[in-house]
Amino acid sequence: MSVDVRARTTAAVEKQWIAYAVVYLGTALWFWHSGLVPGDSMSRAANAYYTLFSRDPHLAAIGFVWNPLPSLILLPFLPLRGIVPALTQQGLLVVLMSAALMTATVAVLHDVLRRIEVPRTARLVLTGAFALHPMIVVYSGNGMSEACFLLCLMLAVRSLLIWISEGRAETLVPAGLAVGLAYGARYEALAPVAAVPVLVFLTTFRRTPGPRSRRLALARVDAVITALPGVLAVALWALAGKLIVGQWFATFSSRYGNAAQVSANAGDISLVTGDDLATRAGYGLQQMLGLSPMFAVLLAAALVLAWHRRDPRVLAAVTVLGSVLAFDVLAFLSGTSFGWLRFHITVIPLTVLLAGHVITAVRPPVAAAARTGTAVAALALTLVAIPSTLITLNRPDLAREESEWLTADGAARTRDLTRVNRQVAADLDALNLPEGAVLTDAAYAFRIVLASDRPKQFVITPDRDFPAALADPTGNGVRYLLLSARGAADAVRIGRFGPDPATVPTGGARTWSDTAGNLQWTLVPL
Amino acid sequence: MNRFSARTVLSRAQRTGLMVALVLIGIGAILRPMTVLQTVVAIVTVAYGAAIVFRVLLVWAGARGEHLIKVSDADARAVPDADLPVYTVLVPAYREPGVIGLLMSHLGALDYPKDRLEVFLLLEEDDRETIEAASAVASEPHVRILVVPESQPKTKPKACNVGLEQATGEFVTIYDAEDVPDPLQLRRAVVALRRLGASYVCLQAELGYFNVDQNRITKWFALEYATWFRSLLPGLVALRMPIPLGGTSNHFRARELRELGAWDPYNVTEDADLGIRLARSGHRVGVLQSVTLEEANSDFINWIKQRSRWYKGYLMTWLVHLRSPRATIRQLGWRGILCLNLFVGGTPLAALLNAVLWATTILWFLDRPPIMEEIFVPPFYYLGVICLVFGNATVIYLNVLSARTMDRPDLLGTALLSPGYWAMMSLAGAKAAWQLIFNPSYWEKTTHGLHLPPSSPSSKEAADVG
Repeated sequence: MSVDVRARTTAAVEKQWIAYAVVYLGTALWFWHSGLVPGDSMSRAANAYYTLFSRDPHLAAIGFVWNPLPSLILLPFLPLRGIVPALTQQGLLVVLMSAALMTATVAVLHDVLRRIEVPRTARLVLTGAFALHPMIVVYSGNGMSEACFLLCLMLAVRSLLIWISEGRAETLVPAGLAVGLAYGARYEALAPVAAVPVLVFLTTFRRTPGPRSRRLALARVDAVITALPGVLAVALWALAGKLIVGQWFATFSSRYGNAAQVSANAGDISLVTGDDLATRAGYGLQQMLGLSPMFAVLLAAALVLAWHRRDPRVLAAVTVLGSVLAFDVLAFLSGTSFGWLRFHITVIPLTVLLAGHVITAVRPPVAAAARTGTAVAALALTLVAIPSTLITLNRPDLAREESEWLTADGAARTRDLTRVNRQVAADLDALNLPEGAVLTDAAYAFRIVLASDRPKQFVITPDRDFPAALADPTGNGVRYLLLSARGAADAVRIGRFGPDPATVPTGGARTWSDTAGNLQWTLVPL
Repeated sequence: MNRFSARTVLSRAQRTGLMVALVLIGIGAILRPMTVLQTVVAIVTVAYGAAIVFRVLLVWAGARGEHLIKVSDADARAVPDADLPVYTVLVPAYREPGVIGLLMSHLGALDYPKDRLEVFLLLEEDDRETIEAASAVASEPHVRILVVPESQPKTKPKACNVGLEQATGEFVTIYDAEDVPDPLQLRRAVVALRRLGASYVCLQAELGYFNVDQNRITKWFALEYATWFRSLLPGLVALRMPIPLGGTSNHFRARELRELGAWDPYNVTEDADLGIRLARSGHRVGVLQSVTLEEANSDFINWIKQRSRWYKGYLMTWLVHLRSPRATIRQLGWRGILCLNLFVGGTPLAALLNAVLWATTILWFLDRPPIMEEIFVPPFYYLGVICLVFGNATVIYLNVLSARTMDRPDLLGTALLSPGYWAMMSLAGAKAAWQLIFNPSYWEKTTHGLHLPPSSPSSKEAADVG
């Protein structure tokens, strides 16, 4: 009978992802139904949408400011908007996608735990510690690129682990591809693109027998096999950006890009995170401790045990996930990032995997009681992250983005913005304008373009005739300018009226404001 | 007469079909030139993309599981001499008196009882030098010199057919004069064919090169062969597709080979053609893990000649087997059709197209002629870009991987420089297409012995038909 029970538990362990899929689906539907789908998610969806349904559908409309994978994976499903308009108009598709990707991430993480031979019960708990970590649940349902990024990183961890265990060069191919894909999701993948080949080089060099020259040559080939997909992804994305929009790395150099946004918001950022290195480090540490209080302990324990047992497998997770974490910490400390809480998200799977390595490293001949003790301690150290994250998410100073969805005040503000954008779209649709009648900067108006029933009425920044329309709006059939009130780089407002928002004429213009009375949009007739 | 002989490259129906198609295209080009151009570009792009995807699929399938047939040294030696069948080894040679001595020592190294071995040196009547050189060294009773009477076409497959007529062996294989086969290869083939059963009629042994490090061309060549025999052919086996045989070291059951009509003397890659014909008659072919070392072509001109013959032969084989499409589909099934089009036809066509597509790309970057935007309609434009970028990158990547799996990390640079090799392939492809039209049965001779020091007599005179 015990065999039956065991078999049934094993089946339950293997099938637990179904339960998480349900949780994530629920979260996604909640975000969508509450009108809380974040701007970053909607903007990824909009980038995909332009390539098919804008006035000038072409692939380059996907844009070069954000890495393309989160938008590309939406493309095949976009035509379904004909059946369910909410998929694009209200951002339903993008949240469903993140739920699916996060479910896959859980499955891969579980597989990694199985491959490092974590016993069944511990594996169940650890998978749950990741899957039900509040931060993971939130990002499973909000449509942001974190789910896609984590999936790519976990696939890289898995392949790298297989390679470290088996040593077949062919298994480096999926590792390299996963890292390359991760760069397609987010530019932080630059860190593993550089770090993983180094690990591979050193591993092969150390463990290959024979003369030094041969070890060096084999290590070099292994490193190249791992590095090529990532290097190619970086080079191609840069080249495509250079050829199409004239910038090698638009994420950093575009006026809509990360660097521009950070410098435009530098005052606001430093107000919260502090100005000098010490306060900033303190702020980052608080965030990290909030997401995983015992990370450092588990890291130290796992590395010491790995060293002791001469088992390098823990380096797969440490290199892939740790390099991303290190990259984000350095970017934040050097003042080139927003310091969002989500930039530390890789610490969550890393903590779970470290706990898994600690548990498997303590094996017989260590006494059973000591083994159980270690396992319980490792699980406790991992699980403590759940309450501490719940507290962190409710602190608007640490979870600045998340509190806009999760706290009552923040959610009210987000919902209000959603409402205003949908109102603008509805009012414009009611005007029954012809194609290309409204000139607007899609970097700010993406939610309006998405929500509109008549997306072709807009001339948007990705359109190839946008520069011509901006230079001579009436000559190009434009009848209205739709201007954001505060967009720091609104090309239409700045191009027509200069950098000072106060110069926008109000006479004869139609405006939309949020509930608090802040002006959001101005429609200037020509 | 073999119905699928390349004696005539195009059947009457094919010729008529081609004429009609050309006339239609011509009329279309006059009436709607842009539509015709767009269609051609679309078809070419899709075919090219499919060939790349197919290649990746083969490597992937080949890497999953074990598709090389392995017979350990112990198992090969374990068969008592009395249980071994008579084995016929055919060695066609033409104008290579200098290599005959070496050949004798390489064949002498074969671990097979002499009383069960039958070696036929197939020499041409007008090649007195080689016949004399051979008579001087072929002293052992199991080695016979067969002089092939003068008649057209004077090709390697015809010589092999003459040899097969006289062969008494249960099994037959072919070696080129400069080959260095694994000494246990015949025993391995016997064990493997007996193990695999009657459905397997042929085993292709792996080919490798003994002069890999001679220069860049030989390195590229070695890498290409490693990919071919370690990835692509096992991939074909895994997907149960026809295997285009390589020129030497194919081991047959003699009876079935005769029933099949043996080699087509008019086809310049009779081996690839035979692979397809084996598949058509429902026989299976395996890839045997046992290496025969050959001489990699180290000279540019010589390489182009050899490669253009191969490509011409592949094109011939492709056309010949498309002769009665319904029968082909019935006999080969969809897998065989895929292989025939994407692999046999696809390999030379892709080599040829590469040059055109690269030229187009360079032209685009240099001049950006607006007409090109018109020719490449969006979906095919994107597909083309994907092929250009990912296709090229994938093939380079697979070459790096081959360097690793063949345990030759020193070939890393060679793998990364593969585009240079593709340029040579394009040249050969163009030459092959030209010859296919104007001189289909002409056999480009490949000079052998280029690895020997220049003072050696064989380097100047040695030439065979292999």
